[in-house]
Amino acid sequence: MKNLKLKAARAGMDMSQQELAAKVGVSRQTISAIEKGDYNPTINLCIAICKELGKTLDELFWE
Amino acid sequence: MSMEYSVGYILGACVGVLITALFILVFLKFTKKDGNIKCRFDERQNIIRGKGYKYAFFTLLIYNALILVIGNVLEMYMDREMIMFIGICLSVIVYAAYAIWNEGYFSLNENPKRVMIIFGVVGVINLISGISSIVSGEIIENGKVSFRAMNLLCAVLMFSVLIVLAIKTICNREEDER
Repeated sequence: MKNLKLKAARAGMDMSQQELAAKVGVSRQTISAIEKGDYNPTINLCIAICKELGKTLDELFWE
Repeated sequence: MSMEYSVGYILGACVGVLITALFILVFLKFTKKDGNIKCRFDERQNIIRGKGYKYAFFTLLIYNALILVIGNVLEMYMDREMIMFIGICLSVIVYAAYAIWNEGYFSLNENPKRVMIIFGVVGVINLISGISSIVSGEIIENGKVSFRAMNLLCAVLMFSVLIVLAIKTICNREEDER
């Protein structure tokens, strides 16, 4: 299932996939895979993404 | 084997190992964006690489099982070294193709263009060496494909990796345009 909330939050901060990936220490393809719903990130990566986008885990990863 | 030849042989082997180690060191340094030797992969890439290794392992396992059955027949046409080397090349191609296709091949601090350049150069060097073996007739000895065909196989391996990389790059471009 696509993670549109993550995509929207990233776009809301005017951040590219590459920029977010660099900030959380993963590849651009990993961010792309999370947004497409092809990869389930670990809790550590979820927290890193949330911190970077200023959101909570619920806001980005809870359905 | 005389003593002199033996010492020369050992010295030659040592120099070969040193040159190979030096080449690997230069390769590791040259291909990194940050000059670090160590590759850094993220969690998704590590999973992909793990799966890639699994598929490569089973490829080699199945190949070895096949060789157990038809090895005697194959040995009539090629050296044992070649038979073993084909298995290694096959498993490496399976690993590389899987990892490239699932975006887990290049580390976070790696420059893919530089890796491709080195693979291309190594491929061309091996191709030239392989062709020269064909021209000099050394590739077939006593009616069998000799170990000298390893260079050709290496070239095939390098170009296969480059072809998968090129196809993946084209697919990614098309996906981005959509």
